[in-house]
Amino acid sequence: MSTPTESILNIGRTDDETALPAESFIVKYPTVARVVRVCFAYAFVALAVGGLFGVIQALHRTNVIRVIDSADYYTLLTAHGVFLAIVFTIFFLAGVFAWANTRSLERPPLNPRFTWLWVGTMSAGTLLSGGSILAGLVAEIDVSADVLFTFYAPLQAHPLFYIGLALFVVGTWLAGIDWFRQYLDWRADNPDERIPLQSFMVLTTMLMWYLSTLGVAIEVVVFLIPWSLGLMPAPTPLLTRTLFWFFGHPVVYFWLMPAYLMWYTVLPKLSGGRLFSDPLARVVFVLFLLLSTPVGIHHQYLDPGIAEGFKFIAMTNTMFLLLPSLLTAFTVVASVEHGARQNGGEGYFGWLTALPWRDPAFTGMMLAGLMFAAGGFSGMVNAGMNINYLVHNTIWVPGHFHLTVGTAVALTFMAAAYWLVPRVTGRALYSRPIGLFQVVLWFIGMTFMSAAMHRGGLAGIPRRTAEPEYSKFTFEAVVGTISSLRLQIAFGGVLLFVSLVIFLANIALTAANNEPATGLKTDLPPALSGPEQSPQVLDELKLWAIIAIVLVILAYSLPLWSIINGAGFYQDGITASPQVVQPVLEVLI
Amino acid sequence: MHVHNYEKLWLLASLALIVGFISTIVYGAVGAGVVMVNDEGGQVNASGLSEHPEFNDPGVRKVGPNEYEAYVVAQQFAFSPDPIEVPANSTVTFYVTSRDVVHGFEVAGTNANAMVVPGEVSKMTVEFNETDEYGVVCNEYCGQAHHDMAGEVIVKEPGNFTLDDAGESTTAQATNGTDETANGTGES
Amino acid sequence: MSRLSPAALLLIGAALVPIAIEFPVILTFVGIRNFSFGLSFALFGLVFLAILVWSEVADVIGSSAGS
Repeated sequence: MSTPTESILNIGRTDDETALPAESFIVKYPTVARVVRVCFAYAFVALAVGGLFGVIQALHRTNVIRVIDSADYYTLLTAHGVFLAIVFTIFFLAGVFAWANTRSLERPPLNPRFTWLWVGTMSAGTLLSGGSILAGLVAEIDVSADVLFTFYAPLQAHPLFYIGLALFVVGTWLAGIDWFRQYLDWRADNPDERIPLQSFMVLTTMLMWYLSTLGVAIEVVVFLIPWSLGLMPAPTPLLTRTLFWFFGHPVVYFWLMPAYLMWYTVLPKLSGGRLFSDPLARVVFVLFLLLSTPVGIHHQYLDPGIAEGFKFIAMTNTMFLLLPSLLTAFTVVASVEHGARQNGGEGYFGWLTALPWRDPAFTGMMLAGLMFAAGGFSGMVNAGMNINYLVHNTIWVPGHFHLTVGTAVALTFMAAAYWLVPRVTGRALYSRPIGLFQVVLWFIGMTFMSAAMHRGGLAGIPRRTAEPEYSKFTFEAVVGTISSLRLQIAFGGVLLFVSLVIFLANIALTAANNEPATGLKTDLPPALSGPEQSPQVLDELKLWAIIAIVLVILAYSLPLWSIINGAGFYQDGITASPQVVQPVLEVLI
Repeated sequence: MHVHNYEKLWLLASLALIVGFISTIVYGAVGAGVVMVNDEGGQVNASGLSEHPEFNDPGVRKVGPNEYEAYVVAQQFAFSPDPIEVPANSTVTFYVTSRDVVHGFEVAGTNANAMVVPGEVSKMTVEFNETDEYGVVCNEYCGQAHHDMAGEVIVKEPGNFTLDDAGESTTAQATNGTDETANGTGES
Repeated sequence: MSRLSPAALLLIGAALVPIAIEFPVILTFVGIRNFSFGLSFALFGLVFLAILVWSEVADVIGSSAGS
């Protein structure tokens, strides 16, 4: 196969696939295994760059070591956000979903060319956006995109940044189409069967993604690209903010869903047991499809121009989003406990010792889940409309999301990689003890950094700032001192970076390992309560999609209408007139 | 659909927790009277603030006994006026807007906190009970010198406070309080 | 003969970190303020050392007593 990505396709491919069991994923679906490897390669390169910038920021803003100019801090911050929160997470998701959909439907995508088309589109988008951010560090190139991950007007990036983002999102849409076609093909052969659980998770997540990316698509294509090209006037800041957050909250569930997929379908197996309840897993994913999008306004509790009632609706929806995560906590712990008891674990807590704690994949996911519990509760504080006023845009907020996306998601992905990479390369994991040390080190580093960030936020230290030291006043910590908090942030950041380097080295050595992987034959065990016990209506994807759309219309139509009515589409009441479109016409004619 | 008994209990407890969270927020809004920043401030023309009747001359005005209004303009990379001087035992309604990009207006260590969006006016009412000095931080990234953007709110003895003072700089080095003497209130 | 494997010690050590960080906060609820983070880490460092010694030594003492 000849594709532009040919050169990296062979990363980690086994020398002798015939030595592997015929039932293993890599032998049955070699093309999909390649796709997963390419997606993981992008994800891990993004993780390396984003992580490096992360530690530079942690040391800079705590004034421990400053190697960059404070003005460049925001370029690194943009790269840190975009590379980790968009490229790393979504490429990894694409790899996991391609694996899960193929594995559970037991068939490869219909057309490999189409599969490579979405991989190529996402790659092109990544290179354009990533390149335009990094160009900001090079004074000679007149391209920059220092707009942070939250790319709303009036801060403006180079058009290439927005075009790259648009391409990337279109790539994810094509990927979703690929997975839906796989499903429809399976449905034609199995008209009466329940959708296999992993495929069900992939499909509901993608439906949620189609709905939520509409906001960012309109923001970028209708407003930001024409504006950055100088064809149209500046859009209303509040409108672009609202469209951004329409996408900006559901995207966090897009990161989280592949982690949930691993917790529900792989973690029980690792613990030696089975998933506790298949029906509840389906309920959870349906709830995420319904509730992920009509909550974005909770990022705008402090925004003028949005009535309190709309904020209240977003708040209640957000609080109900706690439900699927609490159900997940129950199901995952119950599944793991079942596994422990299969292994001979006994007693109220004694079963905990009968778990495979030496397995980095298992321990990593468990620690990630534990930190997600803490992150969930700090998230409830954020969601609490009036308590939020104390912490909004303080360093509390990055403290929160380094527990969620930075640990629940990232640590689960790293743990999952220890399990999945041997399955898509056919090569044995280089070192399990090093892997175990790495995931525990991540947990310790994050404990230091995140706890101190939360406390700093309560003292009012702002987020996203190169030098949170002001000449006219100082901050005062509730417990301990600000300088001890700063040291903890810096120390935690360094531990996280060391952990990251160990992870990348372990994976790179795995990709180069000549020892073939073992245990590839084992399939995922069925749930204790199987799909036959869940109502058929749960599989009615069309119905859930329609309800999700209705909920979004209810939550967003009035706020958007009132913003457009109050401030209009373009800043300062400018209406886009034909004169403004003139340059386009001149080019066309 | 088969749901295990423990699962049902957990589901009910989860729902109770969620309803509990929502009730505390409703209590905060209705009982304790914490008011959100909302759409009451209305819109302004961000590029025409110099023609605006109030924002053309940012500052503090007296509108009643112990009641004041503060008009604040945020722009890259300063607040105007700075410092903002108000008397203790007063209720101050802030009207904050931006001349250029999105900024933040956070009275550090308190819940007086708002986004400042060009074209929109953020209105919030704050009670100042004791003399104190607070730092004001721009907490929304606004450009390359974002970290230099800060101001001060100085709460003076009512006896020492005259409106003419507003806008003059002081030499006092502030130590902001982490206690919440500045609270959003329902009086607006 | 160690009672605890290196992996178990690693996990126990990791579990002590959040406890050490939250300890000064817990103390404020019983009225003890200004208990510094440094002191807390030193304290739980000693706890970890004690666990380590117990893991390494306890069996040895037990076996010598039995002989």
